[in-house]
Amino acid sequence: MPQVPVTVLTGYLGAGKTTLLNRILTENHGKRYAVIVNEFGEIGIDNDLVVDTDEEVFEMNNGCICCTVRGDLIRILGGLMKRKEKFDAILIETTGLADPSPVVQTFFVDEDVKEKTRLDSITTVVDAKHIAQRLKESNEAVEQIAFADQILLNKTDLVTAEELANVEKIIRSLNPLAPIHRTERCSIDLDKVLGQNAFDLAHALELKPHLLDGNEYEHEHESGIGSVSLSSALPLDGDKVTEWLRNLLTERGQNILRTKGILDVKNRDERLVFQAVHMVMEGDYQSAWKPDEKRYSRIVFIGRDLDEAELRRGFSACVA
Amino acid sequence: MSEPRLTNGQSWRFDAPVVACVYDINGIGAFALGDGTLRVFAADQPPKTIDVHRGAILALSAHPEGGFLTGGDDGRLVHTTLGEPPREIYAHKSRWIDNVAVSSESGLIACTSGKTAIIFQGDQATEFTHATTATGIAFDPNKGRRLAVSHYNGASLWWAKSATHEPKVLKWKGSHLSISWSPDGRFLISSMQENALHGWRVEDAADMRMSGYPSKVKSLAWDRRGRALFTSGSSRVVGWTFTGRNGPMGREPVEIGPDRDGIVQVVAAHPELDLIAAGTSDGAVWFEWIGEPGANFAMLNGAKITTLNFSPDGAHLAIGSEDGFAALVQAA
Repeated sequence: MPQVPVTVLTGYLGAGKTTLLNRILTENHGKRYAVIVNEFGEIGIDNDLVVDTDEEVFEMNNGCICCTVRGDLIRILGGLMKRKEKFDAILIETTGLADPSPVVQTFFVDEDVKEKTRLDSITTVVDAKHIAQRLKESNEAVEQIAFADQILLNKTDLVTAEELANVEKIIRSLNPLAPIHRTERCSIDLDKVLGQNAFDLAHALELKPHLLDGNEYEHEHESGIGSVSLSSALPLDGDKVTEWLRNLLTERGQNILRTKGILDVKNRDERLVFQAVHMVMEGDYQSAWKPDEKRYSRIVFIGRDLDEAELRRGFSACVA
Repeated sequence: MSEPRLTNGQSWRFDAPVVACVYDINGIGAFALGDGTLRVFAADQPPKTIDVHRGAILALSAHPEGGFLTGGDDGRLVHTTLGEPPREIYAHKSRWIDNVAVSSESGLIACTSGKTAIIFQGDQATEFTHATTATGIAFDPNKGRRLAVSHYNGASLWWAKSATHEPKVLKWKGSHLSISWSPDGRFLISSMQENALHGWRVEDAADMRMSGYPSKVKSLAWDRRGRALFTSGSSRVVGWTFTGRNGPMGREPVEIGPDRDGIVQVVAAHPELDLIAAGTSDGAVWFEWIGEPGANFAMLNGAKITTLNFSPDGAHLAIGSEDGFAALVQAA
């Protein structure tokens, strides 16, 4: 049975999440989307595809201090899977103040959730007019952008071209990876946002092969959140790199929000594709390198107060 | 998909997942489905379809007065008896009713809706609210006037007659997902998010931890004498002894049934014999006598088994699967 893709929708209050959800629930798109809204949600639609929830963040007793999950989501996703009609996708709205990590970790940690659903993307709605101010005031607003797999830059009609370029620059300083979709009133073809498998780096790279390449943006925002991108043309030692990443995320995972990478491992024909949210990492060997393809390894870290020199040293030591 | 292989029984294929099955006090059985219907069956008759809920049925129990009590994701608690239109007992406009409980001793019924457990007595509804979601409920087996509610970081015990008292709180850190009384009322057992059971001795709140499972424990069955608890969550059924003051503490659990690839999802204990039935993630159902290794397979090659229940006379076992397959087989 195919897993149902789940989109986690984050964004500060007033950014446009509700507008997007209302569109999803009312437009004639021929798809069946379930929407899980939080207790402060403003969805005015009485629809049996809308499920109301209290965000309940639970600690797991598994020795991992940062491992929190959303207990309410485990229960609701399980309940939705009992319905007769199957869903094309599920959307989870989070409150403007929420830390996105417990939602995401739920998809790594709970066996029932993993069996029936897969995280498609963390999509962050950003208000082009007010985001610069929000980022100065709110740590959550900063983290929501840093966490995102894709960003809807909304209300672009309310700013000048120059302001828009500046906002994109700020976003890039927090998150060099997430594609940015410019929208007005969250007007975008839903197929471009949902079911994109944006969480899966291998898929994202098929669409944008240079996604992980170095870019022209600032790599750190004034909040201390920024990114470090590492690459190597030499193959890596599979055991060494796995151990390095595991230790690094165990020790520094509190401050490393997202890690995504593609690795060329010595004596392997397939690329090792992995990604992590804080300390929780998943990865596997995926599509094989083509015979004439130039092999490479690339890792991007997004986090707070990243020590680039230390990361670079650790990565270099993994060359086979 | 190949059809499941069944020995000694009849089967049906419904077009929605089978969520639960139960027999009422008159021996009439019902499957509750993800399309909101009950499929009610009596001996040798094809199941009769009754539309009860608008979405999926999430919880099912036998009503103390006969018929069936169901909670649904349409926020309704409904009593259904054959030959009468389903009667709505309670409705919440936006919250699911995901647990129901009954007591044949007191005649009380209860449900959960979000953080609230509600006990119904005649026309009167009494609400008991918790800091986090009420994940499971059960009435005490003796007089049926005390309700245990599982939630985050423990369980609460409430007297049915009044909502104004402070509950007795049994604490244990973590997310508790369901709750069950031992048949003598001495112990309460919860299943946890972390592939373990937690137990409390009710008289002094002494803790018991039952761990080592490779998977979440979703199904508990007490043997007919109340001396042992049989559980899902592993490739075999895991049984814990509850004789003596300390219950299973300091004793190794017993394992029953074949060691297969599939994980046991549901366990049922025969009402009159020392016989255990189990249903697995890979669609097998087997019987095994307690203490006599060697399983008899009732079913193979199905979808994940979601529910099992023996008929009150012990003659049949009702089986339900995630893909809508349901069956009634001869027990043993």
